[in-house]
Amino acid sequence: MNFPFFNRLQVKKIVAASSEAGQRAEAMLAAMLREQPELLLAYIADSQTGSILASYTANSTYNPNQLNLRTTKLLGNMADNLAANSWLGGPLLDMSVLLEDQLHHLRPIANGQWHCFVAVRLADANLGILKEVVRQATT
Amino acid sequence: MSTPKQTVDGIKAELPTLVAVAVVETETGMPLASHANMADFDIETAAAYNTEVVKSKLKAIKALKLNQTLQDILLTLTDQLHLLKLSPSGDKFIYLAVNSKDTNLAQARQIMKAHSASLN
Repeated sequence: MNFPFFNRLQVKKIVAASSEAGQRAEAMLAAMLREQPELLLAYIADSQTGSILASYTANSTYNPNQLNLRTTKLLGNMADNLAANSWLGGPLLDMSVLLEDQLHHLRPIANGQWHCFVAVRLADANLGILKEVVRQATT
Repeated sequence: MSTPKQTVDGIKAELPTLVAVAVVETETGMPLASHANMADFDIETAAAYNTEVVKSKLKAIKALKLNQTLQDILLTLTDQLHLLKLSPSGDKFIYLAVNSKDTNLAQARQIMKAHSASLN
């Protein structure tokens, strides 16, 4: 049964799983938010299962639960691509998507076991800064 | 308006050190025109996988109900940059792979932007 009360997102607050991995992921998101407080959405998920370890959203319309399985599948697809040797430039470091006024950034972390997804308005950040903020917070 | 072949030739002329370039049909994932400077670069397989990247991102935008169009997808590998840019109608995309030591992201993006606008 679907209880809307239990599915309500906590806005502008980092929500983390109560495991050691969840605490580590929460610390990474906190470091990102210190450098880039205007983030619209950020989450760290397990790349095998797709389960979210920690997440943050600035607005209830940006729901990490609608994206985590998609980003997990996308990274799996890219791993297949690398395994097929159709990309010869080495492992994927990150992926950035530019929309009209938003920037989405996806980075495999923790030796590919996890991944981090971040969305921000282009008015609040640029690609170079966001890449560096995510890299520093997750390594 | 440029044909896929003209687009590939135009990008090749501006970026002679590129690794590979292709104009890909979004629906099928098949290249309409392509060129690779590396003999072992399998551009057909790369185009097929990249099509899945584009489709996956379009689905994610739809899931978030973002009323926005996809501009660019940039993939940073250890030694290469891979860029995907949709044509104005969205039925094709340009796929460009460059060595990061030869070409930076801003240069590659500008060249892609100029050529995708006229892609027929």
